[in-house]
Amino acid sequence: MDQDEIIRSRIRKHRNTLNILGTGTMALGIWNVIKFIIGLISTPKEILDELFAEQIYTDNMMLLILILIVLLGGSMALYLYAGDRARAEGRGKKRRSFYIGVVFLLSLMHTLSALYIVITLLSGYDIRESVLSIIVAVIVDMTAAITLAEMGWSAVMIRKYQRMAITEK
Amino acid sequence: MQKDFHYYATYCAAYLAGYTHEESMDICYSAQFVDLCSETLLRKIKGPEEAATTQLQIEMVEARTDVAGLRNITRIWSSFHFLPYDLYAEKKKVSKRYLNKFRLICDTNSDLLVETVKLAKDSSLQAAGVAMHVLADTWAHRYFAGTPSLVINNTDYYFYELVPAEDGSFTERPVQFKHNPSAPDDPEKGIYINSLYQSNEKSIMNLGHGRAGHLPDYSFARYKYLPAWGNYCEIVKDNPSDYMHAFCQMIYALKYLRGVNESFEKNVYDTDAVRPWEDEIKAMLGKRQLDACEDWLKFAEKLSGREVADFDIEKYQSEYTEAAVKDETYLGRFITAALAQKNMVTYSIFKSGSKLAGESIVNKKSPFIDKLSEAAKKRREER
Repeated sequence: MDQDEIIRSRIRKHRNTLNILGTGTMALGIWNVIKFIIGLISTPKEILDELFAEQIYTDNMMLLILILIVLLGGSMALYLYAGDRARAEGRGKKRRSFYIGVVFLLSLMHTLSALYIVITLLSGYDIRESVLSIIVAVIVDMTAAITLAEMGWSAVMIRKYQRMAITEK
Repeated sequence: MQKDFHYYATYCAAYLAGYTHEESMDICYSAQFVDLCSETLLRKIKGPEEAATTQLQIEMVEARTDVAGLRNITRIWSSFHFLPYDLYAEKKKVSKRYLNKFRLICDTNSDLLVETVKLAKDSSLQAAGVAMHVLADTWAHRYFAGTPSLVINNTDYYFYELVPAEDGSFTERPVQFKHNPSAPDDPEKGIYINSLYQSNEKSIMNLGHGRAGHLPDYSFARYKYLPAWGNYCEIVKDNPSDYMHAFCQMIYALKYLRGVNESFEKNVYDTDAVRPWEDEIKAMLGKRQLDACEDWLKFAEKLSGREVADFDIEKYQSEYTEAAVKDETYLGRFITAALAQKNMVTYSIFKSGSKLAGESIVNKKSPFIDKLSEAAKKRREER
């Protein structure tokens, strides 16, 4: 197999990764919103108590709902944007590199979220949730962080191999 | 490959190799019969079900995918339609289980192909037909394996047809695969039917070239895709070229079986025999049509000047069911040839250390072996 074909095969491999993980990222973004809404419907007090003081959310319910919708919408939009761009690049369309920054930012956020939970648990802070649900949350966060990092890495490697291909020509 | 090549093209190859019209008819009938000799048919004619050379769709739907069922599937498809290229191929950093399947990938000009053709030497015309079917399929079905395996036979969205333009160049057009088995393929729009994606490794949907639909069996098709085993390396399949090679190699093999050539070697093609009709054959192979039977029939009749009867699956069935000594009937000889081919390939796979086709032993004292030898001796004396 000649060098050109090796480079092309690696580009294809990373594009395939982007396509799969891009789809997963979009699903993750939608799932985050669904999960929050389900939590808000089933245990509204616990969710809101974590976010705001009781007096605040009692007096300004509508405003808070509006703010939550904007934040959730924004969060979902970020995931959908990153996932969609990754999928498009996975299918061979050229995309600007801005989304790679978003991907790594989301990965960092998940990593920090997982670290926060672990530190909170280790520091002996009184957490209302069960240990099992905390462990699951950490695993989900770390999985998301690794997935997003891999997606960003694949996008970077595609650009690297494309530059190599151009240089060799 | 389809009837247009297995029946009519094989007839043409046999005729060009020097066989008479009647002998060519026997050979091509046998070649096409490999695609129809299922357990259902054998049960109907009260023949041995072990001699099955294919499985009907309904049989595959009902086929077991436990160890025994998978071995049966692999025995049939690897022996007759996806002859393994290299049973001792090496690949780094893979498990033994994966390696066994990797080694079943079909390709042309293998050692097993040489064994297949030599097995038909000094045997019946039916054996020659079986060998020609196997040979032709190594060209059409290359890069796929005759065992259900997602990790070997799967394809994905990276599948492009290379459609010829008027100026001789090719345009890449993404292939749209659909899963409606009752709808015909539409080459004009690039819509083809393939088997449904099944994530189960051993699903019957992952057998052979199901995931690529009928594209490997269309002589006009040129396409590129990423095979699951290829580590993202692209395969470009040029069926018109491959089918031409298959045709020329069949003539060479049949000349060997007739005794014209002293040996059968890999990578040798009788292009001289084809030269006077090269353009005509290339035009037939390149014509974008799902069924080239009519064209090949006209060519066959032009070659021999004789009428080439259409394939009739029931032609020899009553002869077999009514015969007292079945082995000397047409289907009896076909069954003998099929069993010999299946045994040879199964034993080769087993000898390589893989049990994907089950266990196999060579019983030198078997009356079956003696019968094969006797039949071959008798035919040599008759000639």
